[in-house]
Amino acid sequence: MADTDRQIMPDLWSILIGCILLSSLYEHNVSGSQLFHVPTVYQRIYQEVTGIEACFRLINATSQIGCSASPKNVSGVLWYAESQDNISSVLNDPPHSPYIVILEPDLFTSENIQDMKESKHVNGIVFYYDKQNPIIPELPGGVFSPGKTCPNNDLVDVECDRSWNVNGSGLNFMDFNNFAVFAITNNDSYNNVLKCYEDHNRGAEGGYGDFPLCSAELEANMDAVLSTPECYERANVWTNLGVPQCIPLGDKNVWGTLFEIQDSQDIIIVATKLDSNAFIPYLSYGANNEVAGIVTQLAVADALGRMKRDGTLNATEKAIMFVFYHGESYDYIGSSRMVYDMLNNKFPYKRDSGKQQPPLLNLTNITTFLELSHVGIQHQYNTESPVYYLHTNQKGKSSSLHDYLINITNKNITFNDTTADSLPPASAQMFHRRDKNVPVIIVSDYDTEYNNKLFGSHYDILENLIHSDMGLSPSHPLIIQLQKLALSLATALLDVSNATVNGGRSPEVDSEKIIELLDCYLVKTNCSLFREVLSPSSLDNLGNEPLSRYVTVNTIANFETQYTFNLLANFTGVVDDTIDTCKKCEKENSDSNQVYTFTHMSGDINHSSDSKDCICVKSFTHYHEATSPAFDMKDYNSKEYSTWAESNWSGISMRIYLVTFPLFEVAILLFGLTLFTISVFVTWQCNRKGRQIFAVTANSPAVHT
Amino acid sequence: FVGVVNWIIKNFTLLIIMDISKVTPEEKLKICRKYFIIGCFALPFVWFVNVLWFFRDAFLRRNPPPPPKLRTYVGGSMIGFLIWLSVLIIWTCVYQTQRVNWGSAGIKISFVLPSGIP
Repeated sequence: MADTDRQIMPDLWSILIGCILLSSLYEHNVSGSQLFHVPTVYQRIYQEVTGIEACFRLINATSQIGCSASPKNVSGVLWYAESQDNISSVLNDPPHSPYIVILEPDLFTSENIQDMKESKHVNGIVFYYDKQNPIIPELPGGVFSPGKTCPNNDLVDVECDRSWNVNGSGLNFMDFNNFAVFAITNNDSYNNVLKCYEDHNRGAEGGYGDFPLCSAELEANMDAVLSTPECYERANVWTNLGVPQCIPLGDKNVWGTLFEIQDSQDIIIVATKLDSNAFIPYLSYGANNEVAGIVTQLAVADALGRMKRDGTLNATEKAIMFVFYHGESYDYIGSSRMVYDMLNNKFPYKRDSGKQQPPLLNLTNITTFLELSHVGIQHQYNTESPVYYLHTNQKGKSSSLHDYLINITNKNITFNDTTADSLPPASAQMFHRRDKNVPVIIVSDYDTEYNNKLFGSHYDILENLIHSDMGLSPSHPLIIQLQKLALSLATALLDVSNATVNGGRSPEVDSEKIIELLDCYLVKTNCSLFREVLSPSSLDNLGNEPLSRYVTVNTIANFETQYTFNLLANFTGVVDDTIDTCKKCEKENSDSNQVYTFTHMSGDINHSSDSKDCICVKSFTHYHEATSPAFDMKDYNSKEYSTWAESNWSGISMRIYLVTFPLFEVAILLFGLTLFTISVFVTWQCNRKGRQIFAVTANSPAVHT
Repeated sequence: FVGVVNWIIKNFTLLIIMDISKVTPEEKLKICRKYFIIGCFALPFVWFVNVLWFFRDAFLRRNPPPPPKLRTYVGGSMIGFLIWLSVLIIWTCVYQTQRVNWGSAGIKISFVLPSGIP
């Protein structure tokens, strides 16, 4: 008996080892053959949903906004809301609460979102958004504006005495704690989610099915809480190692002039804002917030740049500076920084006697601040005689630019004075609050209320400007309006800056260029204009989606900033024919010369992505740091400057799985515990009475103390 | 070095052998007293261990009556431990519920703050 025991044991061991080896070989063979693919246990239970854009948390001096699924992930049974009735039924005592609602975009209204947030039956919302072909859904009244009624009204000394955005619900700035809202941008993933719902959850006659039901879990745990000062204080806790769980928002402003700025030269600033925001920040496209403004400003720069290059425009008495401010949607980050730097003698560059620098500029150098704010949606949207309104802080006093625009008569475009008493939300406010003598003119398509019914939403896309199925062409009303606006501004600028123009020629604004710019910013970035002005190494980043224009954190450089910089440089600069490779052009940029920049671009030559051929454009275009002064001064409670920061997160993901009824889960648990107790008891008894059970003798090899 | 080891063995016999039944009552008293004094240095769990080991000997054994001082030391250890326990429980409850209301002061006295919740 003993000998056979000894022989059995090694045999059992060898069989076990053999099995392990075989199974490992089995796993290695999986890669080739689909037939033998063995899904893991995880894959049998969960299906990952990919292609997600989430609503996440932002914090400022006093509050937190956005969504966070803390401390636990948000989960619930899937519920498909196709109609308003579905939403009412999920809010009024549904079975199998809580739920994750799959929302049809037509129902994405502020009231619905808020109702679902407050209800304890709904834990999260997912909806489908096609990034490559976004369409505006049938919203009630065609209105969905989750922005504030008076954007950026938080800072001190900012004028805000009326509801400029009448339809604003303020959804973008609300706190959605323990809630998650995801946009699924991948068509296949969305169809998987719907299929899971259809297969398991949809009951007979629109009622609700029974267990097992399809559920979803949304992971979006935000690390920062309460406010920016809290985030930085928590960084001082010993175990956080001084690293805050949030990063300030910011990027870079882009500015440029046509000619070199002379000492104590007056400047005329032409400005617009570069960023946008939305409830799901990475879906901020902002067609009228402000792509229309950016495109118009670039068209003006292009018209004047061409005049400079073909010798028509020789010089201007006052310098014309084109500025694109970043971060303006979050309490004027870029413009407040420029004003701060100007007042501290750091704009454009800190004085360094060893370098060639443009002269220091201050608020007193500014003779006019012209801003484009909402220029894309006319009250009568298909008019070919657009009307624009001028908001100014010099009412009653005469200003040459203002008077020139008001008195334009022969071009089928009208500029009217606004009937409002105060300035609308615009970057100009940052200049106005520090020095009321800086003449500010804001050109907009609205008089006292925004025309943009989708302001601050992820549906403010090209369709919001076009309003029809007509494609973009030079005869489209929008293109005609923007072309007339750009032309009027270009001629006004030449007049007001006392430009020296040969032969009395007037500028020409290229409609085709406006169409291309709109296409590149709002339809897909993989367009021919971007391919020309970017360096060969940047071409890989171009895709078939519109340009996402959320400002993001100040440690990440946005593509939009670089694209706009290259466009401005291309339009206002001069090609240096002596330099023909990208590397040589890069080398021309020296630390000691801060007056020029050399930007290498692909040009319209056909070449592969690793080509060394570039055109080299010499221009007076620069970047300017756009991070809020509050972070430099470490004044996180500041009410004067933006304190917006984005929370860190460890993962954003979604998965779907089946659940069964809770009683079943409890029963399985109890069964397992019982099995465990019984096996422990049996083992213990066997251990105690082992000698009697197995009748071992003193000579057996199994005997041991 | 050998001297140090000898000293450790002589004074901390109980700690090393962990078998209290083999120790004489006089040695028990010595050990109990030693642990009581050690516990005075803000070590309430040493008092707790003291109580755990010698409670039966000090209060429940009648045949060889325990040295009288054993009771005082065990009693003292027990009272000290209970005081510490209640103070710690009260402080933990106050901290966990009130830290959010203390703002910056609450953060300054914290060692670990879980992220994502206030």
